[in-house]
Amino acid sequence: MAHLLEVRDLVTRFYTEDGAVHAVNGISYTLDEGESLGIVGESGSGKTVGVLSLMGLIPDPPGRVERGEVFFADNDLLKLSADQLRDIRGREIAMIFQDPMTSLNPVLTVGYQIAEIMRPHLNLSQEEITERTVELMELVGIPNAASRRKDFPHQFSGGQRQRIMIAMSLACNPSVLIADEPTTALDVTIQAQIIDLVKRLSEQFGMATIWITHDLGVVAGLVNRVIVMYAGFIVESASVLDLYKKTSHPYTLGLLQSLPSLHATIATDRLIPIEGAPPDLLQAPVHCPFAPRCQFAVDQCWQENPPLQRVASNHDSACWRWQDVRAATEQLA
Amino acid sequence: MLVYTLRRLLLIFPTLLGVSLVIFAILALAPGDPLAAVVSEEYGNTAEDIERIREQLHLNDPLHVQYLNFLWDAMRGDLGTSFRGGSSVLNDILARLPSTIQLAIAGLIATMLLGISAGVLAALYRGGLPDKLTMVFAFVGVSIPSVYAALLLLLIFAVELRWFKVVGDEGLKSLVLPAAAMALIPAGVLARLTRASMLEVMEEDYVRTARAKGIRESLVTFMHIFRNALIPIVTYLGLLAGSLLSGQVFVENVFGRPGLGRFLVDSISARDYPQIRGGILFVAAGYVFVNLIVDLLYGVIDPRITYE
Ligand SMILES: Nc1ncnc2c1ncn2[C@@H]1O[C@H](COP(=O)(O)OP(=O)(O)OP(=O)(O)O)[C@@H](O)[C@H]1O
Ligand SMILES: [Mg+2]
Repeated sequence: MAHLLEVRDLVTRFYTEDGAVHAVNGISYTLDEGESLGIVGESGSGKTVGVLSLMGLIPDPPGRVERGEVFFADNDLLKLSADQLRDIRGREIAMIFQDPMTSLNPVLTVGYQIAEIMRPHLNLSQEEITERTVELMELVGIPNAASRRKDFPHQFSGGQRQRIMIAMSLACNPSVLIADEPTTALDVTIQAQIIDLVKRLSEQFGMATIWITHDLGVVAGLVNRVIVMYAGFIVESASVLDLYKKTSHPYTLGLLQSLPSLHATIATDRLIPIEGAPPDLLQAPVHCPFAPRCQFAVDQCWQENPPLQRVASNHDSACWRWQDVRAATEQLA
Repeated sequence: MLVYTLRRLLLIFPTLLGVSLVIFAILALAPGDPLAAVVSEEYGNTAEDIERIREQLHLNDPLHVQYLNFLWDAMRGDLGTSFRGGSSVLNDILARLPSTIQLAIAGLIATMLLGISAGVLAALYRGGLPDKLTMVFAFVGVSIPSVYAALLLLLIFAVELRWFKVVGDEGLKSLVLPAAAMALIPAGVLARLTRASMLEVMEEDYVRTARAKGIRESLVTFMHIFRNALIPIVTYLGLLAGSLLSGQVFVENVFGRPGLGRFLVDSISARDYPQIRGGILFVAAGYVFVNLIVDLLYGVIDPRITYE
């Protein structure tokens, strides 16, 4: 079966005064209808740039999508005209952004901002749009939606603003929903509610979702498959279970060890942060980007950047020593 | 909001009180005798004449009495009579007010048309030809003194091209050249300000959100970028509107318009105290009024601002 979305060898760079920032370095993945995919990695690993590239939202200048193909509904999104791509953005692929405090326009009412996404995509009258705006706001749990639609973003709490972003992204019933760390800017107590809401609604409407997060713990219950990114590369890709039990990349292992363990008691909880500094994206990668921080690194890792290779069915890793990593994982368990 | 507006309007009175006190103090401290320009023994006036005139004008009263008298008269709408012609200061000012306000509004509109459109284009085509042209325009505009610009415009469009009359009233049309001359410098400043403000807003997350919705780029530019970029623009226009009320003197001279700017300069050089006082009070009231409008406009363009 054809995939809903297929990304091939995507490369995105930013040309800054200091030089070219190698933000995304040839990533490939697929997303099937109704599937939910997690993209995990530390700050700056290229998660956001990766998905913005699909939607033609990279600011140019300084950014440029250098290479790659993004197949969606038989089209290569990267080859579409601006008009054609606009037709897909918002209607077929919608996005919830990281920070609800800055992602809504402060001078426009939330009702306007929700209605705005429907106008170009749905053939509805002004009254129908207003009606649907209120319905959507009720759906995401905003009380008194009919009157509150005339309020401005600053009159809502952070959690409510993210609910409004969610209402907006659902408005045209897209087939792909991208949630870019929708809860990092929120209170811990609100986080679970927002995640539940997105999960429930995306299942209800049968949307495929991409969850971006830097927290492996968050995606565990949410997604079928996880992609781990490091320095603009995909370094491992597997089902959630395989990723936990058969970890095949030292960076993933580091991420797992830095999680508070669900089994251990708080007192004996050992959080092991990953040692070393994040990679310098100004350097064109020649060796394995993780080598400087890797306990497993050998000479080969400093000479050749390992390609992403199949290590088991539906399990890929970009590590020369994946077998040793996996053995170590199994020993730890 | 209504309460706020009324309260701000009432503030005009203490403001004018303060301004009048300052003018009075400055004029009292200024060296020399203001009457010297009008009556003097050199002109053949006798010492008694001068003394009589001083007495008539209450210039011999103690300062605080003069000030209280002035206030009392001013409150009843009497700004005194000119030292020179003996005409009513209020009438003199009112006669010049329409021309001044017309020119200020025309200058403001010309500034906005030129400055905002150039700034928006420069930001949208950053680094391209419109951007470079705008920067050259802004630079040249700021470097040409407005009196020179006024002469240049008059020479080109009235004398050479004959599109406008050099002298004589042509109704609204006769506002075009003076307004353009007045707009040149502020439009350059405004173009740069608009460009910088637009570029800053373009980086905002909500602009990315807007693009992600798949709406037309023109809507992104207007509803999302421009609406937010307006805030510093309105601040600047407010300052400008105030200064346009009193700062038209050169342009008024070149185009032979009887305005408040020229009135003030003339009365200052003639040391006509009642005229100076009245003129400055009017300009101050104008500033207060413009400021109020600007503050109310903030609320319209930025809903986060509340008035209590
Ligand atoms: N406009 C830009 N100009 C220059 N560099 C940029 C720009 N946007 C992103 N980058 C760079 O691209 C790299 C990847 O950024 P990205 O936002 O994708 O990280 P991320 O994985 O989403 O991190 P986070 O978890 O903090 O959101 C970073 O090094 C960032 O500095
Ligand atoms: Mg991000």
